[in-house]
Amino acid sequence: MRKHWCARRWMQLAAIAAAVGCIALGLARGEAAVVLRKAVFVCLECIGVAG
Amino acid sequence: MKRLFRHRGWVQALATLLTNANLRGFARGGIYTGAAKRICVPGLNCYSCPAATGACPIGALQAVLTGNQHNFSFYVTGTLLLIGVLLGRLVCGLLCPFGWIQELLHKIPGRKRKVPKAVDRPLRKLKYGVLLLFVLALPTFVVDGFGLGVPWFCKWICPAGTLEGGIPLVLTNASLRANLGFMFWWKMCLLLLTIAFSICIYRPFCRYICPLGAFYSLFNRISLARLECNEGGCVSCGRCASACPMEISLPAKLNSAECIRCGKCMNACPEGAITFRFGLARVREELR
Repeated sequence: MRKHWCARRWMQLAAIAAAVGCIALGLARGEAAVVLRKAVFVCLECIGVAG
Repeated sequence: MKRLFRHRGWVQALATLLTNANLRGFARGGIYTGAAKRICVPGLNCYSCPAATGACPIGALQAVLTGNQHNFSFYVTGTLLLIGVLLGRLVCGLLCPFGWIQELLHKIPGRKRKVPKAVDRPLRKLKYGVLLLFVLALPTFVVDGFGLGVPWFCKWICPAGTLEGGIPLVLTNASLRANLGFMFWWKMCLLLLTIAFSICIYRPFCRYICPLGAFYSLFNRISLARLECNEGGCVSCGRCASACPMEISLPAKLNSAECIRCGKCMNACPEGAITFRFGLARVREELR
């Protein structure tokens, strides 16, 4: 039981660290700007108008 | 915390309103174009909805993958990972606008059906296939001569885009109305099917199709937000299992990948043995 809870705690901490790292790396690579460029125009595929 | 789950409908309504705060967009027939659109919202909410103030994470992921700048999106994956490890599928139960819409549809009086287990179990795995194929693989690998792909999930499957973006924009924008073709009617058919199924089956899109739910479900077992059962307090009355709308074998599989944290099991338990907890796993308490 102890091992199980320890493992979960470490997995939680590792996942949070990985997530924060990924977000920082993505921001540094300019991915947020790519998302913004797409999101400020009407997505024709999303609304079903694109051919 | 129990009170929060008792008034879950209001929490869902508030989350939907916060995700779609630009209500003027419906009147103008255009979408919000502010800087907040670079931030991914936790639930499935089309960024082409006139009221949307943030980006749909599934749409954003495909937007990066279909471009020719990056082959992988660290930003969106990191955001999803963070939300997943903090909340798991609590997002489905409390924060997702499309999940809330399906729940409202299920309240429409009519014959409610349970999908036979032999069909239900394999169908629940379909959402993982949708995530891998339509959200990740096809947008990444099927590209044109310029290296640009297509957001396959948004284009061919997502009924949320049709409901939240397609219908309001087509109603208010004449130029879009003039360009309607096969794709629009295909997506309308999918939307109508989703609506019809939602009336008789509880959240069918979340159960079988939603790639966002599939991603969050991977973190349900380790997420900081979780349900806990005090085994000493459980009297095995089975009320939690019969209250569970996702038909999970409770209390054994309390944090199953299918649990959307609606809290109905918690409210149904006469002994108060099921509780909600948010925090890192308690090592010391277990050692006692």
